[in-house]
Amino acid sequence: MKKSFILLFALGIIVSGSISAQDIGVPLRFDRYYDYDQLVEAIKALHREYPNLTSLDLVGYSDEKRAIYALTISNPNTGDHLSKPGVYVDGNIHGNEVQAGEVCLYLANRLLTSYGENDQITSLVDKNSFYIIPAVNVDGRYHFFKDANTSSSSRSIRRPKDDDKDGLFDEDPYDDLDGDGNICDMRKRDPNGTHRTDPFDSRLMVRVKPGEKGEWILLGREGIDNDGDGRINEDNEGYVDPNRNWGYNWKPNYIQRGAGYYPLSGTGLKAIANYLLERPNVIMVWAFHNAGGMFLRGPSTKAEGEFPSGDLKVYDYLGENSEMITPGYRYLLVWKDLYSTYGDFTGFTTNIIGSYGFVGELFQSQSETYALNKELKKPGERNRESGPDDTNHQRLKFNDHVAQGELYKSWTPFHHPLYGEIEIGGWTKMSSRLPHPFMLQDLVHRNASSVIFSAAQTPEIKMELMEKKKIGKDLYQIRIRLLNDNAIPTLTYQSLKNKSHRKDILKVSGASVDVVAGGELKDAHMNQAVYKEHKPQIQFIHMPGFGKVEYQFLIAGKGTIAVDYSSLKAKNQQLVIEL
Amino acid sequence: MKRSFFLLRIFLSLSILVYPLVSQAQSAGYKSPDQVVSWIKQLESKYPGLVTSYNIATSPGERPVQIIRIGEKTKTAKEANPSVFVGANLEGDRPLTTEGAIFLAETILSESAYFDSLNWYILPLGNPDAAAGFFQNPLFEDTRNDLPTNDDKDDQTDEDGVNDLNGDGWITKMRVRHPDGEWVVSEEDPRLMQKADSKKGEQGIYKVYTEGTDEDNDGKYNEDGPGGTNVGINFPQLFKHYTASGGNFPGSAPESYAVMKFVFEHPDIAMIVSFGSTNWCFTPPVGGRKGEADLNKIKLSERQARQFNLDHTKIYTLKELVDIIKAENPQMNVDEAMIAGYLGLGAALNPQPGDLLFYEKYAKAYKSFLKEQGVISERIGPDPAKDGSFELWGYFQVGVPVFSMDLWGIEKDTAEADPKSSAESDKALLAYADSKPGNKGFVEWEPFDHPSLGAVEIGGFVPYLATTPPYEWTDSLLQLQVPWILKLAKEFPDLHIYEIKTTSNGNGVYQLDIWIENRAFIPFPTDMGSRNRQPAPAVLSLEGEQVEFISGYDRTPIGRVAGKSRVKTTLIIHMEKPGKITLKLSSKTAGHDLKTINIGG
Repeated sequence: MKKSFILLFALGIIVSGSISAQDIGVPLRFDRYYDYDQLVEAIKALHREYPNLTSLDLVGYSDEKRAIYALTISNPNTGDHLSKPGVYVDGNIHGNEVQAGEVCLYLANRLLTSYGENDQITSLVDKNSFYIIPAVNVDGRYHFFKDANTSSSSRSIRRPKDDDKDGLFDEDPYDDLDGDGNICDMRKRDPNGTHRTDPFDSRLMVRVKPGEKGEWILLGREGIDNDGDGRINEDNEGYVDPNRNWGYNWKPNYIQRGAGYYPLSGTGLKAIANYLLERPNVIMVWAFHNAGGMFLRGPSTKAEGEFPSGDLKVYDYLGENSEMITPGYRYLLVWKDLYSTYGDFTGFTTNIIGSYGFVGELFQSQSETYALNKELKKPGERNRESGPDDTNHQRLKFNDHVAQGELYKSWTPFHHPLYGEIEIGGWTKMSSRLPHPFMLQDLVHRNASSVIFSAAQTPEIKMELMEKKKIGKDLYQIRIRLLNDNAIPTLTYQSLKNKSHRKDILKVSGASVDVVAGGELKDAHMNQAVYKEHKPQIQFIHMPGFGKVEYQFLIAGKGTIAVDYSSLKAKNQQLVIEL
Repeated sequence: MKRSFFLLRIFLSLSILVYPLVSQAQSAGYKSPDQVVSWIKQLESKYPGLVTSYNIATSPGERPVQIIRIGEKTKTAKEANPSVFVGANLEGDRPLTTEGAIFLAETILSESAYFDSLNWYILPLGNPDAAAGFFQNPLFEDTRNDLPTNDDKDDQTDEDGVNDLNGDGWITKMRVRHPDGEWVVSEEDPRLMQKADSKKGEQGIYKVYTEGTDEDNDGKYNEDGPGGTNVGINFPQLFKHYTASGGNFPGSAPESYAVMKFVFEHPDIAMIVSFGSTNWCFTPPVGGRKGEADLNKIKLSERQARQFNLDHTKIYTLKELVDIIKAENPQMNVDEAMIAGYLGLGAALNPQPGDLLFYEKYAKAYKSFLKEQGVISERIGPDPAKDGSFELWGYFQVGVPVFSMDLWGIEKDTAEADPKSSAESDKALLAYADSKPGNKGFVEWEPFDHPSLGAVEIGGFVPYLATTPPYEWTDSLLQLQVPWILKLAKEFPDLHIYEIKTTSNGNGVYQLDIWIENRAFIPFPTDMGSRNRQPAPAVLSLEGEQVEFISGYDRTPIGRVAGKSRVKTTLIIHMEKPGKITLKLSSKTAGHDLKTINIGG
């Protein structure tokens, strides 16, 4: 009895050991993917290793009650995290878009492990507060790895919805009939079928032309009719698209598929919204998705009209550099180059949080090439060949000879309860929308570099005394110049237009002074100032990117004055002047 | 004998001894937020098991937001009763509506007939922070909850609110002569102010402000008072971003978020009632909003036309498109909502024509109902629904019938007066104000030396005058109107198995033609519910031993039955031996039915 107890105990240790933190150490590895539990372990490991530069934030819980963690990276010696420009980075809002989590982990890993060794990284971390949420849709990520999926499924948040309007919820999902961990495609031999075998690769099929004899019919994704209603897989998990459930310009489901019943009905999303609202210093947002190779900016719908030109300049600067950092990826506009979306995260962060934002669509399947040097396309270029050199054929050969067959499941016979003798095969879950692990390192580094590039451009304000002129007894004219040598303003022009956020404050004070007049100096040489009507000692200003503003004050009195600059999204500054 | 609201008032005011002299008397009798909490507690202990309370949220001012449920819990989930959700005083500035909800609850509990086939969820006070303002001095009409909000985006938060400069206990208006003034004294009555009409050659004389000082010296008056968000306009239908009190985004206020969460977590809710600023019992909800796609004049883009083999130069109706596309794709579940969504036809902005039929029918019936009780319904208003309001959300996004009441209106000045004209409503309000003794309705314009504006005059209508009658009138007002809600609660869709026709085709094969009937006038679901595909279908299920389905399935969703109509479902089954089958119709909101029939034998 005692022996078996010890044996059971030992087994228990071995079993639990396999999901412990033992294989996850810092620096993290990026030749692998992290499932939900491993991802949490990785975040915790980074925090454990760098306790002084990080804080581990429990943002909230998902619909299935899994913890959502953020890692804050901020140097306490350069100020409280809220006092510095905030750069918020997240990934994996769609549960299947998993490599976004690795990009976030890599960014954190890079910032922390190179701190103190790499000057650029060190000054970047000292200057900003980074808020990193590697997995937004924790339930989606958990189920993507644990359950059988296509490369596109487990996208939704886990809120039950009656997609097929039969009164039941999520009752007919995909089924992993052959138990291989993938949801592939089903086909059946049929001489009257719509498809026939591709002449160049028997794994592929082509549509029959008029008059041709068929060989196959396509039966859709792996599954059975779970609810006996004559349809297969018509009511999968959800469907609430977590990137349509946000509060800006939200529209109900009949207009925007996947919107959910009301804004931020997703428990985890609501927690993240609150997390962001509590950090009004956030001025730059990156949200990573897959796939396609894009850096997307808003607006999200055509009806909103274009951003103010001041914002376009910022987006173009950051977007074009991101294109150069990741050859093949394109800098694009959401509604025009893709489609209008309502209630998305970008709309929320742009209009409610008041920040700049990019969506990074990671990975291009056309990078899985198999062509001679002289025929090889540029990175990101679409392969418009047809026949044996088209993308599908090349990708299959890539699968065979560069990935050793790991991306594609060959057609395998199976007996289906309804269809009889069929074959199951197709691209696997860990293919098509994400890179084979050997290409992951390149993807995560380049995309983290785009974030790093923009984080270097967050506003840094310098104040200097331009001129101090005595113009009467105890009456002085003071000119202050404020400079921002970085691309990102202290407030977006969209926020200015909407009057949605407080401007920066320039305050002049002194123990024995009275500010008689104050205003923006439009032209220093011509002495053209626009004086503020009330309370000249407090000015509300906006710092542009790559630019300056100048202010002029008429001050009566003597002694010392303090000029205080305070901003929601840039570090405060102070200038002390002796009159 | 005809009695008008006016005579009713005189009758009641004669029976009241004296109006109290202090202005706080306005609130005397009405229940404060704390008293509502106590009332709920008392109700729960008085009716254990029948009344349950839920604490659905805490307001920014730390007040509870509570819903009470009235209904027996004895039924199983499968046979549970449908429910009515009543939301009151979501804007927080209508104390009468909270009393209305309380009165409704007490009336329901007085008669088991009101709750044995129906559950009630009643939210007596949706915006407790704002409602607390009615019990404070000075009195100021404010719909905002206590969320600190930097309304003027300056360096301070909530630093410049209203002030009772003349110490009369009310926040009224200030008028001051100013070259930029846009207001003039009205020709109708020197107490009224109106905007100068430049078309008539009028020039403005006065600037008009709310009573108060410029506490932060920024040249603006009372522009950043305490709070907050108006919960009652924080809902997603026609929500407007960046308004003075609408909130950051729909559901940004914990109160409104909790209401939406509650309603969607209770799919047994078959009808929603709002006690607030509108009266959809009296007049149907208004339409006329521009920007809605005309579903009878649809033009497809070239790409869409190619997809469906249609003509992009032709104009189609939605019904035509559905019929054509359904014919080409028999295995797909094609309906109007699906095609409308796919084509990106956009939001419904106006009440659907089919739904206006029942709104108009019940409005007519309600006016007769009032007349029978001796009331001539000649009043100003009622107000149309505000953008982002609770009742708009209920109708357009929950997709169930929604009714509302404001429970009191000012009587029109003259019989011919246009109830929607603002000039008329000012006159009527003044007439009502004058009927109140001791200047308790209108504060006469009196000079005041304002610290920054100089010589001003303070005066104007007393707060809450237009919306809140003396408490002594509430009993008769509520007894008159609230019972109509109990009548409406019998009117929502009611589905039954009307008839089953069995035809034997020989060899144990039987064709069953089953008619489902909606006995109510209101369609199941509403037209809007069909459009937004939100309400759950009713399900017809067939149970029997050794039944094989030849055509059809053991569960058939019934998605739509028009008012006072029947739909037919046909099932073909094979039963070797004669036996019994049971047909069950179940719906969370439209009733249950069960019929057992003999097959064969």
